[in-house]
Amino acid sequence: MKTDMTDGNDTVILEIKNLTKHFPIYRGFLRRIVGNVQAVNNVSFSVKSGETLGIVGESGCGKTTLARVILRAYEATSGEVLYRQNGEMINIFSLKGQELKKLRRDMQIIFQDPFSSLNPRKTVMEIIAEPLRIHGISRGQELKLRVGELLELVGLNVKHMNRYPNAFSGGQRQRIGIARALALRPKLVICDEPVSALDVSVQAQVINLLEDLQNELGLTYLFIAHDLSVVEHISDRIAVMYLGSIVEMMPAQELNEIPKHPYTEALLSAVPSIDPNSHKPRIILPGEIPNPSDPPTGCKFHTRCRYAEEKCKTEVPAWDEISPGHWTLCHFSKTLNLHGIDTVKASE
Amino acid sequence: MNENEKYLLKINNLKTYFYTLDGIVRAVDGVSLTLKPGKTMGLVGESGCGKSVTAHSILRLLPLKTSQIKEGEILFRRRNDKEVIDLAKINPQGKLIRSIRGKEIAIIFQEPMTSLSPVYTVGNQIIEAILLHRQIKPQEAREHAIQMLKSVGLGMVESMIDEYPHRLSGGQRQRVMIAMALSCSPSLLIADEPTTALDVTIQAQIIELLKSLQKQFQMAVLIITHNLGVIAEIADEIAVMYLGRIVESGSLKQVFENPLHPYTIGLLKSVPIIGNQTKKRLAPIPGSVPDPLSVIEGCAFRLRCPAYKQKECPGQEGVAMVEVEPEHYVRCLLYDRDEGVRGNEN
Repeated sequence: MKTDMTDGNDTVILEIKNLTKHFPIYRGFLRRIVGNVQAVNNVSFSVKSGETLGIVGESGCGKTTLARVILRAYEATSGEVLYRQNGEMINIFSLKGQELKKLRRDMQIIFQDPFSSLNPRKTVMEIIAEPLRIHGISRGQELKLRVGELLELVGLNVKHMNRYPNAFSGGQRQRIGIARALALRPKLVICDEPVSALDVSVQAQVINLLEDLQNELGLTYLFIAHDLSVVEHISDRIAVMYLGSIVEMMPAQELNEIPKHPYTEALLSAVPSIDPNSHKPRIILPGEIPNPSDPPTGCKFHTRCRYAEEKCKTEVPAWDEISPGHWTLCHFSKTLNLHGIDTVKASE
Repeated sequence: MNENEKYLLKINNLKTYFYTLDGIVRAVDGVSLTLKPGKTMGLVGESGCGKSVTAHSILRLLPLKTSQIKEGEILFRRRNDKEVIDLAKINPQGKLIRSIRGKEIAIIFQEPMTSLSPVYTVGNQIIEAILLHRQIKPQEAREHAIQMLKSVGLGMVESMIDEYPHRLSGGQRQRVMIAMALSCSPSLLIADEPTTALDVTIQAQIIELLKSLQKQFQMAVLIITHNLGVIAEIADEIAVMYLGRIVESGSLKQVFENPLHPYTIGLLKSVPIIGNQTKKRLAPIPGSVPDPLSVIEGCAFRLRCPAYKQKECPGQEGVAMVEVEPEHYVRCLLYDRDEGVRGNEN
């Protein structure tokens, strides 16, 4: 399903090593730093060319911060982000000026809210042309042709080029956002909750469009969402985040078949099923997500985990590969017998 | 529908219109539904289909200057004297509706962040609701408020009652809203997208809470949501809305296992399901919801319908509701045959 770019099948396009982002909390007249919101904590993973890596987690788990650090919209506290450019892995945190600008052509983002991510005072033409102008790629008639091409690519009518965003529905606006992201022919596109603001029927249209574009243009996606079923549908691999850390990472089909982290199990069981006959026992996580400026000691999930033992309160679990490509952050991944959702439909 | 059957709420051919500078928006255009005591009805549809306006019409919460209930009746059976009143006809600012709001019909709104006042403590807001409807001393009301907060599963209630809403998380605020709504034991609870703004794990908590409270308080629930999964978890009966009209209604099982209307079928097909091994493409409904100002003759869904028939569908008259199997109604010409019993409403 995934077309490959230039190199072999397993070319790593993006590698993240021990990435940490803390936001300082200032207090008082002297603006002393009294603490840190630990938004992203020691996250490592790699993304292969042409694949879709889904990142799923609840609000406040750090998934958007992670995306923005990768794009260098925020400066990281520590760690490295390596990106493959012309066959070499380069650390994007060391880039400056023109080099950074060049890199930005390769990495683009699609935002969550199609209503606030488009400038209401610019026409669709101006919105999509802006990145092309900034990078000096085309102008004049050629620019217009390219914008028209992009509009066609995302399924919008070229005639509507001179309209303002308010003339479009939510789904159409999201298509404009996608066209803008694709204008520079990027290799890596970060999709930050691209469908969560859309209606169900339109959501499916945009998901299909993203899949088609990936096949056509050989894109690599970092797909961030809180909706487990959407992430499972679109991703090749999935990373589950909790309180700034990735707690489990696996091939997409293993998400429901063999979840290995208790948080993944709880997330799966919380998804409401559209099958009225499935009366699965639901795991209700007690309490709320702890404050990221004062995370629990040991395993961060132990305060809400139903399998937690004494060890979990003190010892930080290790990031462990329990089967090929399946990583978890849990002391008991090998011994726990966890379950996904019962997928056998009674009606069939 | 059986006339002898006791209903709590019965809406007949409700039409609520908005008068805007650009024209008339027929937000609710002929909705009929019946809610039995103690049952849960799910009203499902995409944004702009009129589901919230239907709910707000019941409580008469709509803006007075720009909207009007044009036609129809909203029959509500009151608790004590069992008399039936038509909410559509009473004064939306009068004493009668005020004695019903919050006491007999309560509502939970979507946004737990904005539906609580930021300048009053949680306790103040609940106690106000209790004192408005019951002749009891403030101290007793406070105790009742504490009781209610405990029953919605909040911890450390004695200190939380004096907190301001900004100190609480989204899930906690929604629990406070539910506690407030239930503080006068309403016979009907309207939940307008109660979990949409919440995370999945918190959503699961709230769904379980609503289910257990419904049993405990013996109330009917009208739940409004666009999330088919939430509906499947909680509702007994379902009504699917599209462009101001109900296009299909029936029991949960009927609608989910044997969806009839092309729109319902499309909605069910367009959600990805976890564990669906084959990564097949989703089947979205083409196009998007038409402009609310436009008037579509005949079937409103025909512009996006895969089963569209050029001849019949754009007809002058609206399509009638047809009872295809007992209590399972659909508004579609595909089923408009003689064997189907015609519904009495249009």
